[in-house]
Amino acid sequence: MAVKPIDFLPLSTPAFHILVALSDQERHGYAIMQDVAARTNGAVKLNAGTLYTTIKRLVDDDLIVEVDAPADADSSDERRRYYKLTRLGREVARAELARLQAIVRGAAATLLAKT
Amino acid sequence: VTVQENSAAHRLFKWLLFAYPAEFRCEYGVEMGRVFADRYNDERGARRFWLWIRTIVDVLGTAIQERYRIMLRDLKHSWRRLAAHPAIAATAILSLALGIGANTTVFSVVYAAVLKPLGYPDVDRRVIVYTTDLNSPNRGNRSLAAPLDFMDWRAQSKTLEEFHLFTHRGSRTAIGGPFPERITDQLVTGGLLDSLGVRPVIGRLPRPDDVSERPAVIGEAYWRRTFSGRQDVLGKKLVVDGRVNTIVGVVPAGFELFDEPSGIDLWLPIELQNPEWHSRQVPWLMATAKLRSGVTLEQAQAEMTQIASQLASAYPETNRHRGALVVPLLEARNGWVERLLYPLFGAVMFVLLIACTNVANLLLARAAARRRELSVRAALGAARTRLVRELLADGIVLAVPGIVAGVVLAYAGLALYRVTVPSMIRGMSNVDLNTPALVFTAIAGLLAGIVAAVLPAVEGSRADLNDTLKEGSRGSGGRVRQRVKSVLVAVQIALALVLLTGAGLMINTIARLQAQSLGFDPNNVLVAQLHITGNRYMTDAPPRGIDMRYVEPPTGQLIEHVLRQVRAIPGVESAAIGATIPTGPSSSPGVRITVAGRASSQEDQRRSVYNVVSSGYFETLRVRLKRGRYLEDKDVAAAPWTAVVNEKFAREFFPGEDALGQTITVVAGPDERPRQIVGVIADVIQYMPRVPVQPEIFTSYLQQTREIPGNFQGVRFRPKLIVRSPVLHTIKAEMLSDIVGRFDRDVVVFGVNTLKHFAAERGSLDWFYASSLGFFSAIALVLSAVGIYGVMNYSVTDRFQEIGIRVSLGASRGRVVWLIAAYGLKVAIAGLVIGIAAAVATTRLIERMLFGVKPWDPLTFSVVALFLLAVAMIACLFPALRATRNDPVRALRAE
Repeated sequence: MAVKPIDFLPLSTPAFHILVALSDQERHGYAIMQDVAARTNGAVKLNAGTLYTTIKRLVDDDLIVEVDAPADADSSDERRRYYKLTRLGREVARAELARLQAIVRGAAATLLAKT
Repeated sequence: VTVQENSAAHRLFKWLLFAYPAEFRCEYGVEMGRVFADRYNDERGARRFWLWIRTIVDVLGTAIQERYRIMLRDLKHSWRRLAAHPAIAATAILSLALGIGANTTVFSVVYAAVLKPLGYPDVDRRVIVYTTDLNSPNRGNRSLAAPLDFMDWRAQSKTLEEFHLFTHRGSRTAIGGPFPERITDQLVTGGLLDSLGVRPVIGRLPRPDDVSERPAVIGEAYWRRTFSGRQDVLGKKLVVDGRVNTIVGVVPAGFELFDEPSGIDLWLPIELQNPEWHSRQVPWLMATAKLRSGVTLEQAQAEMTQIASQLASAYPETNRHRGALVVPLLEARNGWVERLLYPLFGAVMFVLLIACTNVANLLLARAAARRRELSVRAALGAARTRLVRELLADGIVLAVPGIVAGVVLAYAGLALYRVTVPSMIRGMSNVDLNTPALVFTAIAGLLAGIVAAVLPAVEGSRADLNDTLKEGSRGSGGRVRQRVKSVLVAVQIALALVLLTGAGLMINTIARLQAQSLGFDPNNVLVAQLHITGNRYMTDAPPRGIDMRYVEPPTGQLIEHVLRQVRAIPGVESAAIGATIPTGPSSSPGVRITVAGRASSQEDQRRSVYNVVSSGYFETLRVRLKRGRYLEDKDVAAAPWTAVVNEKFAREFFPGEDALGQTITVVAGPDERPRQIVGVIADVIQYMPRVPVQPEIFTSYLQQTREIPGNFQGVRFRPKLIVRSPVLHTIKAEMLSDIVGRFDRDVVVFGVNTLKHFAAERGSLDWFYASSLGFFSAIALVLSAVGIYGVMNYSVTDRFQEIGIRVSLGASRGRVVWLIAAYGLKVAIAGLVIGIAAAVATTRLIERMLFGVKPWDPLTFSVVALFLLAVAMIACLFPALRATRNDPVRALRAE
């Protein structure tokens, strides 16, 4: 039974941000948090509880996997747990992106047409 | 400043992490601590404070989510595991359903009888004031209140307010609707309904100072039934027992007055200003009052005791031995029903406990089967709490369908209850499954599931990989587990024994009551009650301050007419009239008797039941004559007045003397005459077999005083007709109504039934109790048998190889059976010993329901114990026989 990306939609906001944060490189929890904050100009600051319960769910669903710390990580970061996007995770993130884009396009079409 | 891993902030955060389930905490706790420390280091000053707030909210919120997800997952897994063994799951669910169903049924009844709030304002300040007999050795001997006593209480009490009187439910004939009708009524003092917070559907309630002509309020059901719910019922005249009343209001359905059921048709006023009520003689009214605010029950009791002693010195003739007892309303209400129901409630609790042990045993077996899996997981680092939680989930997964099935069974149980509940438990027949019962069921059911799962969970999670691997599949291990199961089975047997002993004692009671000689033959006798409505036969007494009334003669002519016509019906063997029919309807007062030639101070007058009968009464009932003669047609008003007494009377009033020929006087109206005892009859059960026979005096209806005290009215105006016929079914109620109606259309015939029916109804409470206990015991027995069977069966499986080896070494079949049976026997006997001890301690709770048998009756105990032992042995037999079919080769190969 193949798992289809669409089965996971819609993603929760933290889940989507975590997937996006992991899309360019492997990161540990704090790095994910910082990346999300940077990407959203500080609007989304994930707290530890939300961050790790979401990570757990993404791991359980095979959207991300835990990996060894990369070779270039400094010593204090070596002990941290790093996560990587899986192929399924990437597909799910893209599907979510497409879903959001469709919503944005639809909203723009109606909202902007009036003015 | 960087936060070190053991700084205060970090420690506090780690402490916060305990909100999460252990497995999550173990997996991510350290990482979360790091992330938090990093963020903490990013912030300064007040922003740290806000970080804390956000973190706490975040942790608590996500912790709840996480726990919820884990619970769902555990339940889902449990469900899958149990569904894989449908037989075990079904047995467990059915066990729980039986236990829960029985509990819900009994709880619904207990709730309706005892726990349901009464909804009166200030209900916890309301009291009932009883008259007590200070002479009686039994201090619990409460009687009601006499009207004049009540008026003195009301006038003098400073601790109590809102004094009111009411009567228990009576029945009367009402003319006002389309046809004369028997209705139920209560008499109440004006203002009582108001004080209890009744809001009339239409119209108004009687006021304390009501001057309109006898204001009556009717019940909503009666209003809709007879008056089609019309508004113009207000102001209508309603003739009740010959007196005219005016309907002023309608009381909503569902209102009930103290322990009386709803379904009262009519409330009539007690007119205390009317001299006819001014009596101190007979305490026959319920008195209620309310503690003034700030007054304690003790203060009120002290004051009432003092008032009662003042009344005793002011009116020594009536009040010399009267005290007053103040009882909180909530306690007075249905006290006896409560005492009756709680043992039943205890019984169903036992049933549920037995069901729980069954489920616990099944789950233990399941946990044992998963032992390897559990111990491997424990060795691989699964938290013990997680394993316990998983096993507890099994209990809940079984409990939920058990609760649902239990509620369905409770529906059936209540339907059964409604048809079997004796009419003696008045107003208790209309019990439904209600919200409190459902809440109770849900809580009890879930608790039962968890209780059943606790032991297996603790046992199962203790699994140690070393032990499990060492044990291998040799099956020699698990001794501890087996001991736990043996204890459970023993407990089960003990519980079942207590229940069965209770049922056994009740069956014994019934047998003894049945064996009790009635003293008359209830077969082939029909009873019809006549109600002679007042005014044609009765005129109000002149206001002399005593409750006496003149009675006009036609009552005699009516009875003469009825008896002549009824005796002429083909197939009628004999017919007679009596005020009271043994075990049937009764309206005989207690009277004082003076014996000619003896000092007659009040102390010497003893009481007797006073029955008024016609000739043929004893013959119709087939009561044996011991001495002299029965009452005959020649005992007319003009002849010398006579009486027949029962043997109990003869023994009590004339110990060591011959009662026959003695002259006695009944303390009654002024024109009562001395009577000669012309006959002594055998003792007849008067009320019901468990009530000891009272002295009774029988007099002819033709030899009665014209002027009768109030409590003689029943004797005169509620005669019962008894008809003996070998072809009883051919005599119809309409034939009797016709005969009576031809003489006087205002005389009502009602309540026609066979004497056997009445006698059975009197015993119905015993039957109800015995059959309820018997029913619950039967469930307990079946559940216990299933439990024993299951455990024995499991033990055989567990010892499969051991038995195989024994057989291959030459053990005989008998030896193998004995091996298993001896184990079962040991457990059963242990259970019986515990059970007997528990039964001795608990059966006295039903002592008041027993008759002729002590709560620790050795015969009942032995029979029950042996019976239970036999059942246990039979339950052992099948697994034992299975063991003998054990093929040693297969058993060893299974290694």
